[in-house]
Amino acid sequence: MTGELRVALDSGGIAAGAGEILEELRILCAAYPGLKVIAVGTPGMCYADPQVEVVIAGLPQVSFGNLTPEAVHYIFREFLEKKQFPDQEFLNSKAILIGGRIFGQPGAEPPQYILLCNTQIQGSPLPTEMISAFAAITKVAIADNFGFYNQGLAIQLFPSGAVYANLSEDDLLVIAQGLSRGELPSKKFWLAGNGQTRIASRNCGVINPESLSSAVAAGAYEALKKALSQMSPQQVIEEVHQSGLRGRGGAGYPTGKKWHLTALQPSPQRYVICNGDEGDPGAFMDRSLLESDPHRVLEGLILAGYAIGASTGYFYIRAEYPLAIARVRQAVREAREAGILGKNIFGSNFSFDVKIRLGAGAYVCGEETALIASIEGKRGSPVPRPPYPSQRGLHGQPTCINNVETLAFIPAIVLQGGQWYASIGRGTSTGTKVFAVSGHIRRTQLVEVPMGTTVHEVVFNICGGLPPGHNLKAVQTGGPSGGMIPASLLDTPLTYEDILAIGSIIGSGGMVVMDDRVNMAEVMRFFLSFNTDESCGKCAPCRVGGFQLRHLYEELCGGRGEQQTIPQIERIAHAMQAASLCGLGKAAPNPIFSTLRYFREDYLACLK
Amino acid sequence: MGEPEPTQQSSGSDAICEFIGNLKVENDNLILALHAIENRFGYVPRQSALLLSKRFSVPLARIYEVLTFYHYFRTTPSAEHTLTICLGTSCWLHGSEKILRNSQNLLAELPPEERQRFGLSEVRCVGCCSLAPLVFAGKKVIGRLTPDKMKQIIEGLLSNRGDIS
Ligand SMILES: Cc1cc2nc3c(=O)[nH]c(=O)nc-3n(C[C@H](O)[C@H](O)[C@H](O)COP(=O)(O)O)c2cc1C
Ligand code: SF4
Ligand code: FES
Repeated sequence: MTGELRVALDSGGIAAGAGEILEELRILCAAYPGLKVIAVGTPGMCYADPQVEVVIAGLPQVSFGNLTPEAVHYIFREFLEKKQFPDQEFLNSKAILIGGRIFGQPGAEPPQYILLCNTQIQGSPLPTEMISAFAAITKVAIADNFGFYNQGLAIQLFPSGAVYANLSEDDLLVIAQGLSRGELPSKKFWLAGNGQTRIASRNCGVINPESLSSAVAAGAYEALKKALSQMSPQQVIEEVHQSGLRGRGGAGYPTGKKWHLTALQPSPQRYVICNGDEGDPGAFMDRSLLESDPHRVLEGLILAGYAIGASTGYFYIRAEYPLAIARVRQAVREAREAGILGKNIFGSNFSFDVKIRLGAGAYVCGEETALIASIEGKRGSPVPRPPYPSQRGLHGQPTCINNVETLAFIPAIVLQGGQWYASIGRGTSTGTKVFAVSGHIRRTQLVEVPMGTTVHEVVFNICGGLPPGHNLKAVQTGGPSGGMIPASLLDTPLTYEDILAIGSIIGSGGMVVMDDRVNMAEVMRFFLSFNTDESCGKCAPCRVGGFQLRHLYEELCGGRGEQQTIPQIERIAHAMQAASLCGLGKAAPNPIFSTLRYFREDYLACLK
Repeated sequence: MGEPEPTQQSSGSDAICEFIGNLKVENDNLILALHAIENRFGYVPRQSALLLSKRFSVPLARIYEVLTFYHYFRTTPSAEHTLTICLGTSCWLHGSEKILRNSQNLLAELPPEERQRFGLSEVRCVGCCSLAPLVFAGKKVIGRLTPDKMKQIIEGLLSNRGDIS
């Protein structure tokens, strides 16, 4: 047996027991020298933790999830050693099988393995005669899911990995008959992908994040080599400019422009900072990227340093992410040993090194001026802008701050060109965006989709909608600074402008699905407790206004509200929005307006 | 991973002096110094703040200004059993506020000497929302919590059974 078993060991996987699974597999594989068990980051399907992806010559590339050590033994014996699918009874109760891990081209050879799946969200199980029709041809199993939904019945053939979808039961029977005569399914049903496009998260769940050689084998630092040998810093900025990339930390400011403005400042010393504070509750994009592919983010930071003329970079990572910190430390150490950090990188004139700084449980430190203060060892209190950090930042020098995900796009943009990146997405929202979908959702997971994909496509067609029993009420984006997207507006494309037009923001990428049991005034009470806990207290509109609002919501939700309560809330919210010093206070009223706009009846219900 | 486990035993003044004396951090980094102390002692003892104030040549008030701003640092020793419940949005939607309230009530009913063994606190999302709602028992994450499961965890810790899963 040759190949590898990829066990997802990000902090979510570890918390779910992936460490034990890894140990079991290492013991089982000891007898097979060609078989490697590697610890990877998250492939995105957090709901399936602990999970393993099987990439072994001659076997279909599938994942098994919700594993226990006993299940691993069974899978090893049946699937790896006997080369047959685990018993369907086992797959229905002891572990799940996930297909659609690769989307192959239709091959010419007859399939050796077949996976079936009903991708309809409320679909019924496939009838047994259907399964027997395929069982007569070759080895067959029913997958828990193919990573996409609402595309009828689907089938995946191996070794090609080709997926055919949007099939009816009759279509499937025709395919079964065809296959038994050696004919492949009609190409009109062939599906090229699942709606996701992975750029920033491309190597997540694929490479070993604690190994430089594993990252390099997957193409890490190619872009840096290219930039240092063939491109001037201005050319790098120009590519980023052409890509149309906008900051993924929340504000959506054009990255190329920010770099250009920082590079313009006359100063002998400049800094670049990677913002890994990720404080929005329900967001785990940056954690996943840092834990699963730290070298990509590091490469992005080095390229940013080269472009703007900085010799020192910082990672600022929140202390609640110890694994991300450890993996970034490891990546920096290995890169330094390999000469990717330090003096004269790759023999060029460019020298650059990075330092790692930790947050300490303060959401406001994600705000750029507070973050700078925190790096300087002070309280994380924001200061008024201008001057912007690009003018006067860390230690008074021009400083460029970018979000983790923003930086993770840079290597691909440098390598494949700004034009290529700009060709993905929609309008001025180019490229892809990583979202973390959680809450009342069937599949809590990370998705990376072209911007312009609709909310509905993400929530339903990729994440499988809500668990049975309840309907969607709203999708919350932008964390406590964002807003609610009501069920009636789910067809809104995920672009900065379209989401803003309906009263929310793309934000950093957290997407929390709420079902019809949730009262939106209650959600606001909860958000305000967050905002008042996290307010730094520096300016009165946020400090005092926040507490007043919190109090009003507590009254309202406690059944003590009066007719005056709602107008009072609106008045304070307007004042707070207009007069607060930093984004925290300015944006805290956003979800208030959004819930009042779409869910006023929830407020009125509290008054009764 | 990477971070030393906090140890409670040797927080005598010699240990603190020695630790601060050997601390290798750059001068611009009070926060990393505080992290190192918190990791070592489980909180930031007053004596260490005094020593830091000398070491960084800043007034003690500056140290406390920073120390008290950040939720992550504690100024009193942590309890024998720390339970940190996530109040991020996903965990909240899955009932973590109620679990927190139940736990508070449960602990309030205990005799004071038992009660003191527990430190109950909150955190705002640790990025493992697929396990919502979750609690940290020490450094161990326990996910898909229910009020019953939480009750079992507390009872298990009370009777010093290590098996909290
Ligand atoms: C209260 C507050 C919290 C923020 N938290 C974060 C954060 O956790 N991560 C982040 O990248 N940006 C955060 N931001 C945005 C940053 O201030 C800044 O705009 C961003 O890091 C710039 O990077 P980008 O241009 O790549 O998006 C926050 C802003 C505010 C006002
Ligand atoms: S708006 Fe709030 S968080 Fe921002 S500076 Fe003012 S008090 Fe601090
Ligand atoms: S909300 Fe609890 S881990 Fe994210």
